[in-house]
Amino acid sequence: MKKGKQSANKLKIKFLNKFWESPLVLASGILGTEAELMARVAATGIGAVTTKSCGLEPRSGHENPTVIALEHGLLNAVGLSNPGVEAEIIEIKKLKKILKKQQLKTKVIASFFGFSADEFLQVAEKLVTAKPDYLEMNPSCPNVASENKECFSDTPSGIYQLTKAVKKLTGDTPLIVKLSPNVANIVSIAQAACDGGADAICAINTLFGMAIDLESGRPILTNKMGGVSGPAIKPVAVRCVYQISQAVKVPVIGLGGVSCAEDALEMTYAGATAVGVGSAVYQGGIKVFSKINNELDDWLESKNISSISKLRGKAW
Amino acid sequence: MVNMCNTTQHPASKPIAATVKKIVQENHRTVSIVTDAKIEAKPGQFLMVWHPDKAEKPFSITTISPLSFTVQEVGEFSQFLVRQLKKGDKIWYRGPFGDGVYRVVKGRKILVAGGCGCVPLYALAQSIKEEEGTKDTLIIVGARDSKELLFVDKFSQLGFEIKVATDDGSQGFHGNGVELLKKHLEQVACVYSCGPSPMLKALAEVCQQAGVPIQVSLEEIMKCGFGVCGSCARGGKLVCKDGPVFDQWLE
Repeated sequence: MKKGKQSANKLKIKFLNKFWESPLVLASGILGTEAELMARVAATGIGAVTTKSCGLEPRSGHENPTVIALEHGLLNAVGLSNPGVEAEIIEIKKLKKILKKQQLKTKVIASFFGFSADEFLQVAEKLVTAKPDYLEMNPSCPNVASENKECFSDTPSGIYQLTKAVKKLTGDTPLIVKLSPNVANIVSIAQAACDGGADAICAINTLFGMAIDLESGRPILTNKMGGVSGPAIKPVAVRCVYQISQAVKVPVIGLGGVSCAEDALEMTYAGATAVGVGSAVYQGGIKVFSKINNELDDWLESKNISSISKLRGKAW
Repeated sequence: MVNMCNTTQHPASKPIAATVKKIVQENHRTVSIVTDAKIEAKPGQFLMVWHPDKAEKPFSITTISPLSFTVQEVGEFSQFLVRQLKKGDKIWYRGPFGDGVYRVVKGRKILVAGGCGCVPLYALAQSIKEEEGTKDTLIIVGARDSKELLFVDKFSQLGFEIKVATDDGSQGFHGNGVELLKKHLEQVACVYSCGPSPMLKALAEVCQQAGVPIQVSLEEIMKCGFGVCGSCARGGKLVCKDGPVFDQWLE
């Protein structure tokens, strides 16, 4: 936030039961590996940081190449590398401690995944003890599709049952469900998640894609296929957020290709309450968050709009 | 490959294929792979070297024109590169990566290389020579034994003063590079280093006590290589993007 400027209030939002300093969220899978690093991102003045998805056991993920830059975004198959839920709990507690010490109001969203319904439940039950502000369930990572025998985010019944079961274990901690765009009808999936008790929806995860090297004729990612993120997927994300936010009553974190204030405003117009930023870190570095915050603030000021919340769903 | 789509090549873009022109045996388990490519890079920056269906790993850049990098046999991929790659073969790279690079400071400099830590320091030595000549710089090359020593001839050919340290005393000073460094720390403007983590940690402590600034190149397991995935985070810093060269040891 710019020093000496009082208009930062324009960016404050209410997300479920808590007030955020800004609608911007660090998306899961980007920089969310270490408490100190997330605190560094939090210090840019964003509303919340999402940890990298954690599972039951430590996992090294796929072999490199795992992330490459394409003309309009990134293609990745990192493969859910994570230190396991026990280590993640320690990291989240450490993060909360640093945030408190630095007097940062940034909220913590703890992302998690499982390879079976049972694993999702076990991880959720443990992770909630770290007392994150929110839990984010990631049943939609496209990079482990072959390993994930039950594709929970693919069918309304799958996501309904999983969400319902997880909700029973997470107490007062709100549950955000992250959805995949790799489905025919994302609205029915979002509705099913809400019927199962989801407190919020996060959309979208990456689009399933691939890239091939012509010199060798081989897929570039070791996992062959992966998730596309960045500007390439923004129109898809805007469309999904536009559809979902009108169909459900819960707030939506809109993400997918947001890299400037215009993109964040477009997400807000589409109906997002909060806006995720991830792959933009590739071109803009960690300072991309404060840059978008400042641009948003200036834009709202120039249009004489008192709160970004007033723009939510303007395109409906 | 001709760029038919008129796209811009970024360091993180798809791997570029180069042809192996020469393979230079540096010691019993280390080779330098010289390609037909040329790049712009600063000392300390690294490449992600790829071979389809094998792996992609970070390697320090040895020379930029022609582009060459040095590989020591440690794991499966490096064993493949050292033992099986031959002249005429294709090898793919992305990069250069790393915003944190070696900066040449004025005054007396000591470069301390441990094992294959010689590689980025060789890139630095070339820059020092270009910018101000070889007179104000001492290079300490350390290794476990004489068989493991690397680049002693290369540094000599550039015209620098060299001192060798081996843990077993089989060549030069009997002891490690940091112990040898202690004997030369007076009136030093900067100590540059790259090598095994325990060595760098010890070196950082020694230099801190002596009040000498350091620039050290750190190593971490990397996935993306360009500052988005967070795999190489260390104390809030990204080794791939903020580094790999830092002016302090990071826990």
